[in-house]
Amino acid sequence: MSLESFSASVREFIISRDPKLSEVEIREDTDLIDNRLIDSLMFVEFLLFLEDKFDRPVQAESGDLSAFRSIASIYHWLSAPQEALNV
Amino acid sequence: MENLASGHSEKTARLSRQTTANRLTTMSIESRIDPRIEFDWPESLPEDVLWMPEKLMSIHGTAAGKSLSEEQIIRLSKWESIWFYSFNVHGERHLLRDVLECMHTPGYEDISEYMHHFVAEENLHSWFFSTFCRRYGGKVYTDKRVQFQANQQKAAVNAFLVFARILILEEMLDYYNVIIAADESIPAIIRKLNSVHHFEESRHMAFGRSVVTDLYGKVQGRGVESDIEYCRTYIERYFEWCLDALYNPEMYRDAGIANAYDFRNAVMKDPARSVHHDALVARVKKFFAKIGVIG
Repeated sequence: MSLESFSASVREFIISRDPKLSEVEIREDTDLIDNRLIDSLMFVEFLLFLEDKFDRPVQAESGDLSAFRSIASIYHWLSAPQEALNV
Repeated sequence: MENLASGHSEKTARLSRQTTANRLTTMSIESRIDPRIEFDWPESLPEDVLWMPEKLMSIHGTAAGKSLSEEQIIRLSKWESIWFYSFNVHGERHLLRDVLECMHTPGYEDISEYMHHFVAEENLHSWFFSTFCRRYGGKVYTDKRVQFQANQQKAAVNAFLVFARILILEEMLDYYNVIIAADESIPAIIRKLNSVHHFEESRHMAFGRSVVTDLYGKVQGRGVESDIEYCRTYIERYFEWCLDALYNPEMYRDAGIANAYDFRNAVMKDPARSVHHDALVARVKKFFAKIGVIG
């Protein structure tokens, strides 16, 4: 899966949860949390969506959201070999 | 809708919550149960019977559910049970943390005595639910939720939301407890867990309703429309969050159902589920409408 196609699917996910966001520009480096595109009540659904896309378990360890800030950071994190998740 | 905006009403709500907490403290002492002694855990549970009444299972009434064999439904009932009690464990973990944060701090002096009983009882609920999951499912499912706010809310709003979240979960889980406890086709230990939980949660819900009424009165009393709107939107979305949480893809995966995430989404969005969802939240939604949080 390319970054471009992942990016398109994340936008689709966000808009499906809140159609009002279809007018908002969501770039690959847009901060999804600060811009309230993903909030705590959407977060579990977002993780399940990511697990399905990358076919691996996804969890915010100890509530650390740093990897979830942007489409690009999520893509690079979850595209890395699985061992890297334990670093 | 009750008008709690005046100072008089705020004082009445505060007095009411203190009276309720005092009454519940006495009841907790007089009718205490120790599940560490009370429960008789069997070595294993039969794998050829339902562990959850079919009408409470996530697939009930759905097109996707009709594609499953009886054997698959029985297997799924085991993993739905393990998820349901894991969800209880995590709900209790969060509420214990939140209640401990409030205990003996300014604004909670009148109910801290009861909070000690509340915490002790919830801790034991968490113990017996996690024991069940580990003993008969080999694990407690992980919890994916993370609480964060992009925009920090006022202390009064956050205080209300903490106790509102606790109450909503307790009310929804109690709906399951009552039905499971009464179903004689379900293994006895499962009925016992639900019956003990229901018995003590009825006190916790009474406590929750009085605290939530008081704390929402404080939000309303300040008269800031954006705070009231934030609470309304949050609570409506929290109901949706709780309902979505019932459909954990991992339980379908563990039951051997192919394409678990797609199956889960199909089941969750099936129009037949709305009848169950409405019944599940009816009582607690009525309460939040009565105190004016939602329409």
